[in-house]
Amino acid sequence: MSADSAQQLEDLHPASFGWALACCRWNREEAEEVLQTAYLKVLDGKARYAGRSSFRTWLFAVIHRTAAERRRSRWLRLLATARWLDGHPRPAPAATPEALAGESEATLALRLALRELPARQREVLHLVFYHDLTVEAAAQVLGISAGSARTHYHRGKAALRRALALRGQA
Amino acid sequence: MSGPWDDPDDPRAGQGAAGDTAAGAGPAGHDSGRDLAHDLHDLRDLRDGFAALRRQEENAAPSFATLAAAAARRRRQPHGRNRRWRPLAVAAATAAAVLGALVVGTSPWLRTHVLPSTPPLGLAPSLSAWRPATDFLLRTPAQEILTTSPTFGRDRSLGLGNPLSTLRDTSRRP
Repeated sequence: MSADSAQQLEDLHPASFGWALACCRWNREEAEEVLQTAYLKVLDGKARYAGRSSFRTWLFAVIHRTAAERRRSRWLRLLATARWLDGHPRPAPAATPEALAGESEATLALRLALRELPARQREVLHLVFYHDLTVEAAAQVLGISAGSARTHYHRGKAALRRALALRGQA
Repeated sequence: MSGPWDDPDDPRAGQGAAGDTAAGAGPAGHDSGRDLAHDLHDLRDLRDGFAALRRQEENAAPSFATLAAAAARRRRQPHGRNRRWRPLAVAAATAAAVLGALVVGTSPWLRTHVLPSTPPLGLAPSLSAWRPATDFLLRTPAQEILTTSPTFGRDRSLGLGNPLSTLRDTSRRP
């Protein structure tokens, strides 16, 4: 990996962490592991930037894929009871009380409302509104068609408004 | 740059948040104008919410150096905790499969309920050899005529001699 790419990786780190959190439904520990694995892929050259999109779009796609792989492997591990053999059962809390302490009521309501949305809608909204990506770029990150992303965007926005209204935040 | 709440795929996105809501607003009127204003208010609230969420999460993010160092450590230890347990898990799974096969193979219930029962072959010869007590009544005189086929020259009981011997006898006569 070139020094330029490493610098880009570092510059994007806060945004990457936010995206990893969203991919892991705001499980901080899991998000850190996903981000580590994604960085490892980039550092080892297993994931290579071909320049077909912006570096950020590509990196977010790597993080999204890594999170999906981790979810799948965790599910398989649970199925094979390897977790029990491991001897370290780790229940994954969504957010620790310490983390929630510094959070305003509105932010907490938004996060909880986002968690209620279907994964695709949540991811498209996060990419568009949190990271300022276009719907087309969000579609590239998620590996879906632009039309499909647009549908998720509109439905997600409506669902988020409803969820926030129910919580008295809109 | 357009605001984050502008509809990013709407060509009117550059006109501000109105681009998001004007698409479904229809002709201008009191109701549509009120809806538009309401939507804009909603969008502003949501935009503020996302901005706050982003600020909070970025502040709480671990440093890049920490994560990169952890990633480098993981790279140096390819055989992690899970890989250490893998041979044991494979051995346990194999043992379980063998044990299962043995249990299934030797189960008496399976033998009587699932596996097909073998026919009682030992009984068959005795059944075929059995004769009823009144069987003699069916034996009639000269029954052998019915059960055997006559042979020329051999079966004297039928009164049929060898025709060739008769011819031979006549040929000797003067």
